[in-house]
Amino acid sequence: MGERPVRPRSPTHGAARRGRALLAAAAEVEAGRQRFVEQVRRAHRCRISEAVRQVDGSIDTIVRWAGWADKLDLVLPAAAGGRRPPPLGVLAPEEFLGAARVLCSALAAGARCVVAHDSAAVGALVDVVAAEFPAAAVTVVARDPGTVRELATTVTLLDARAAPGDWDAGLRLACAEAGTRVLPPLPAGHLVDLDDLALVGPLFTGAVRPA
Amino acid sequence: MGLTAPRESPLRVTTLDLPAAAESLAASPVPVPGTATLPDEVPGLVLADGPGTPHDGTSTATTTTATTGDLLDVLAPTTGECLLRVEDTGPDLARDIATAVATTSRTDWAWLSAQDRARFLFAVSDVLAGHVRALAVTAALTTGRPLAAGFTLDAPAAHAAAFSAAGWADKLEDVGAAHRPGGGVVVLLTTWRTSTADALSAVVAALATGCGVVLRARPAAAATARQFVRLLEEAGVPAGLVRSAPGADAATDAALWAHPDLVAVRADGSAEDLRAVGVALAGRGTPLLQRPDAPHVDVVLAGADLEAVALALVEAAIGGAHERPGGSRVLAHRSVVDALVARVGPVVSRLHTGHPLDRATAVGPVPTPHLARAAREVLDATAGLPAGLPPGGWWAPPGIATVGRHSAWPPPGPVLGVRSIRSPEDALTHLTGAGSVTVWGGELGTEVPAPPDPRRDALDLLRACRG
Repeated sequence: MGERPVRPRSPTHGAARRGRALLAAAAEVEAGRQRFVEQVRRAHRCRISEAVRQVDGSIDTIVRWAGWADKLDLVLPAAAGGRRPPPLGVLAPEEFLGAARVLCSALAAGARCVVAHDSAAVGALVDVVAAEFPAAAVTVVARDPGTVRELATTVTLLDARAAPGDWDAGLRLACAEAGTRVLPPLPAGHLVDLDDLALVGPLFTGAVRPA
Repeated sequence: MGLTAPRESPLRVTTLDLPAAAESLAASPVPVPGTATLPDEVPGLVLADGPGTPHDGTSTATTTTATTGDLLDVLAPTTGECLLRVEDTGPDLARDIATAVATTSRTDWAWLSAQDRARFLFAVSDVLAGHVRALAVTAALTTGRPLAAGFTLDAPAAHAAAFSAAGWADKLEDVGAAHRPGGGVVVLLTTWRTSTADALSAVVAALATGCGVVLRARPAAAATARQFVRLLEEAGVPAGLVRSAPGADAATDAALWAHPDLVAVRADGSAEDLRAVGVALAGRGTPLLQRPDAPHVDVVLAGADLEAVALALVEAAIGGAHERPGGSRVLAHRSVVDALVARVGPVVSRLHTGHPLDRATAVGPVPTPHLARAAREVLDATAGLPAGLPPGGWWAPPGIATVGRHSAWPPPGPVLGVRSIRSPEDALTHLTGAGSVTVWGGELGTEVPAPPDPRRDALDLLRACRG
């Protein structure tokens, strides 16, 4: 052996780095708060008070998931040993705050995400968050049926919990043909009611250890 | 509408990653070993953070100023001579400090929302970058921890630990903890063993619940505790929420343990010292989160990857008592013990021992004189030590010592003890009292204690603060 060994990085280094990246994203959203409020108003046609609630709530949500990133292995057995979710497709909720929560939970868990959405405000949020992560960590696609069906063939797990109950039969078929596991739609309102660990836990289905 | 109203505390993330340790170390002006005067980061006199005192808990003066207690000498591990002096906080002042912290927690901190407490606490890790050098220099001079380890190991660990603990503030209910809206006091008993990561993790976790913190720093840890107070105030935590009450007076300890606002105590130390603290706290049922000096044991079975084991053991020798205050023991299967010693011994014995402020130093002096004396009884005192080291310093040559089945293990420090075992079952008989165990090359068929994890300690403290 050599003169002096180089100590390997802590197993939680990557998770802590993800947490700090999310916190940096929260700071960016907060710095652009007024712009985000305006985008949410326009994209979701809501009152300014509702837009403020959504944006401020999303900042708190991103901060919250920044804090979860390096702790999931302590409270979720499925996340122990540095396990990370498989490549994940996310059908983002239409609501801005809900989209922030679903996206950040997946990133905190260490998933490589492909996010399908059709909201300009959500798109702006994803862009800000993605900018803090390596290039391959977050990809955005349009939420039209053809694109989403194609997405289903490129990921291992599709999070469709925010999709409507009568979601695209063609997409279900595409997932079945591609062998993509699906987290099926939840009844309206149930996704919001899930606590953090119930939200992120199912993402570890088929989790893999880092090589 | 409040659309442009500022948030309670703006998020700031200026240090996503600490600067690369090697670059920071190279760029940082390092005090010259052997210089008579202390560097600016280390005061000549450390005072208690009493309420209403005009000073900031420090003084560069070398004479007594407005102290309430005796002055204790802190000896330099490199020379054995007086490095600085610390106020031995008296019981009355300690009570006043704890009361002031409890009041500040109630009036300025505990009423904040969980989200706002998290914002303040995340800033602690963010401002850490500006304190890395001061913390490393202070640890080097007061405990002998090499400066390079302060930059390359301690700073990243502290950065991660502080960030991690901050993240609990807005999720206490998710993990069986609870916010304390009325505030309270957590006492953190720090010694030379207390790493920056452990201390910051505990402080931030306590603050996350709404409590304030009294740093009951033993003399060797007092200068570092003062650094923590500065760091936290720079992060925006209310002034006076974290105060230092340095010293070693037993009556002062008792006054703190009996304080009505005391919520929990976190301490490390010898099993004997911690037992005394536990007994004192038992009457009121105050939780004690403790980390006693217990050895780390590496069990090396026949199928182990000896290269990986050797790397870990060399790191253990370098980390010495600072990283394993209970010592390092190796139980190696008789089929691999000779090969392991042949790999590790020459590397360990060539580790550069020197002044902890020297950037090239891998092994500095041990933190206490009795550890140095004990180490010299195991290995030849002159072997492995370069010429010219101050004779009064607490030097111990790094090395590896073969230990018989009924012989005593080497003391904590850079000397590794290796004992041959016949089988995995045989190892179990030697694990009594082990603080943590790493098994290489197989399993022992039973659960063994894992190495300490500041994240889990923080979680335990959060839950203890629930009451």
